[in-house]
Amino acid sequence: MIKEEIGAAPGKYELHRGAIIVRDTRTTIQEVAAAFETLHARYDRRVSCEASIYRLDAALARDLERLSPGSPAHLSSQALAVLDRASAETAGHARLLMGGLVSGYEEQRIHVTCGRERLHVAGLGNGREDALYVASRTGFVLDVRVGGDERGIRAAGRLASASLLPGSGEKVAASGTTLETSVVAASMQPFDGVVLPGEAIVLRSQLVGSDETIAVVIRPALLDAPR
Amino acid sequence: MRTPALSASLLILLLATAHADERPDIARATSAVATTREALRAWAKSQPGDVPLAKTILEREGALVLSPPNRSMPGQGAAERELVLLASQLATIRDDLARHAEELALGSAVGPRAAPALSSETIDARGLIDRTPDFPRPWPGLPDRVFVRPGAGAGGFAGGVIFGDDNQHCTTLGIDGDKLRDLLDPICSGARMDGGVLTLKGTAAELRAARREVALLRSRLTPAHITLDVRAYVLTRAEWVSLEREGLLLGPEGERRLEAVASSGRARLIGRQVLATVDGQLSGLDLGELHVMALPADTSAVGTIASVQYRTGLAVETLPRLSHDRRSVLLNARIRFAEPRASSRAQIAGVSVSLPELGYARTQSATRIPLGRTAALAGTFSSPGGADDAVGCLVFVTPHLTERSAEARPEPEPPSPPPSAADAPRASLLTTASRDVARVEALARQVDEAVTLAATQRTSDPGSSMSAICSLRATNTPDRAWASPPPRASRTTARAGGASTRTGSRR
Repeated sequence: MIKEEIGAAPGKYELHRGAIIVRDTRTTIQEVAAAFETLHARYDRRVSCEASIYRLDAALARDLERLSPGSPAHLSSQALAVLDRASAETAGHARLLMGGLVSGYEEQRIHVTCGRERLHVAGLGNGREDALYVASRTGFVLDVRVGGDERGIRAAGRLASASLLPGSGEKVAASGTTLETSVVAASMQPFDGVVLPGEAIVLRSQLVGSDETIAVVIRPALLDAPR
Repeated sequence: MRTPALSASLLILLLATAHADERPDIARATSAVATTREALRAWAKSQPGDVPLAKTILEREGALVLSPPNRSMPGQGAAERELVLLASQLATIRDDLARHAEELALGSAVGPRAAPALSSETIDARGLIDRTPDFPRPWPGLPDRVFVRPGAGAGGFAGGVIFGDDNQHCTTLGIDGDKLRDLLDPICSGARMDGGVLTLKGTAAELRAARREVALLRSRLTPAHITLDVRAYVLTRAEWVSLEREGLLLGPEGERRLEAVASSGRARLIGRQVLATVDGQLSGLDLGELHVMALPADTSAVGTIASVQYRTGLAVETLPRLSHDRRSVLLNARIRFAEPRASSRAQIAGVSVSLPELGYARTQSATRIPLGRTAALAGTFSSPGGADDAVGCLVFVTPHLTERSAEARPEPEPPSPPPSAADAPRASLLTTASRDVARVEALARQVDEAVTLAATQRTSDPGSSMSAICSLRATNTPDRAWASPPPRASRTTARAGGASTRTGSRR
């Protein structure tokens, strides 16, 4: 854009790593600087996002819903405080399964992931001794964009998770090769919500055959004040 | 580099709407041009009709007028461009007046018009076009790709299986030498760049302007040296929450508490390294282990056991950019951590092998950190009693500036040559010049002042150099980073005989 605006003659505009060098009239330089200032103010705000996956018992899940009335996908600051207290207790009603945080630019796609990766033999190829190596990953990936608008802080993205289920690791011997099976519970939860500072988005899943709830708590934050 | 996705129209709008009021320097230059024009006309009219210069001035003076503001061009930009053109015309008249004054003073003794004296000099610009390389980090973890290395043998493949992540992208720091020459070329009569040494040719004023330009670039573009104290901890979320901080930035008390938590054993230090790096350099730390394991990968009659490599430990790739006010560092970081878990044993073609299992954490972040302060970049929380897959690795960084970069000092002036002997008689003759000569010379000086005022609107004019360096977003780490897709099983096949290998579907 700058190049088109001021001309691309050699010696008038050069792109250096991280900088544009402009030689032009004072007014043009001031205008370019002002344009950049506007761009920086709009696009260079830093954000962070934390995602934590909790296992909640039924009583706490009900409490959290009660403290965030009318919006089951939100946790109020009061509900978050209750959740943090409960998870800090050793024998509390909430257990943090895993979590992480990441920072980046506003509206930039940022991610954090953790888990386990393992290599095992899952099959044989054409030949009797062809081994089929399978690399599998379990854990979670938070993939999110965070931005601010007049309504608050918006976070949109997805949280994918996978975990090995009981039944995995069954061994089968064939032609001198041990094969191994795996059973993975996989889920992908898209989300898009707006919260106020200090609040969080919550994605709840009721476990089948259990009264426990898996809650993914997403806490977006703007790190730079609006200019 | 990540470029903000703005349409061109926004910038054009910004440019068109900026600055409605006229600046004082433009007004001063405009006024000086108008006054000079009147003085030139008065002088030309007072001359006899056989003075060619007077006729020329009367012919040209009509062009020495600024146009009224044009709606299609922003007022000041148009005025500046017109002033630059007028400065060029006035400079010609100034030179003609000086010549006329010499003719009046010296008569037939005046020699042929001499071209302005050109000289040349060299400037060592190697610091500006530094070729300090980048140092991408090798990544721990199981490989994203599996392929069979071509090797000796009639079949073309020896069956070697290499796990690797060929994320090797080297760039360099410093301004491109040819671009630096392009920047200086309009300022001087000639510029050459040879191995980081600039050879410039031009008048004294041109060379002065070029030296100023190089000094400006040195002050802004010479990479500063930065120290990054990078630490990674296994830390629970409860401990993280207890640290006093603003956002991700730890306060002094928070830093003390982090140290206390680490020394008390409630947090475990995974790795720490103090990096000596350069502004804009891709570097980082790599604290880990390289594992070599054996996998049966060949079912030829002979049979081959192939070695496979993977890394564990901590790798943090850093790209710091110092802010313009030199108070903070914007740190782009890619973080990967892998730790061995219990490996499983399997029988493959009758051979007992150990298959690795790793806990991993991966992320990428961009964090602005004031110099001397500590901030958390990104990472994951440890979770005692949580999921088996939980891996704790939270990375903190404290940046320091290890030196001040070069100030905007102009290049030292070369010693001035002694005045030429030819100037001496001219000087003595001019002191005895007639009133007409004095008047013409005074007019030439006035024109010269108007030229100076008008020409300063143009930044590439010798003696009035002006450049601006606008900072882009300080990253060259694009929005890619998708080193880790959503977790799922993916398949990599090392086929017997090594004749073919499929890459898993993870990318």
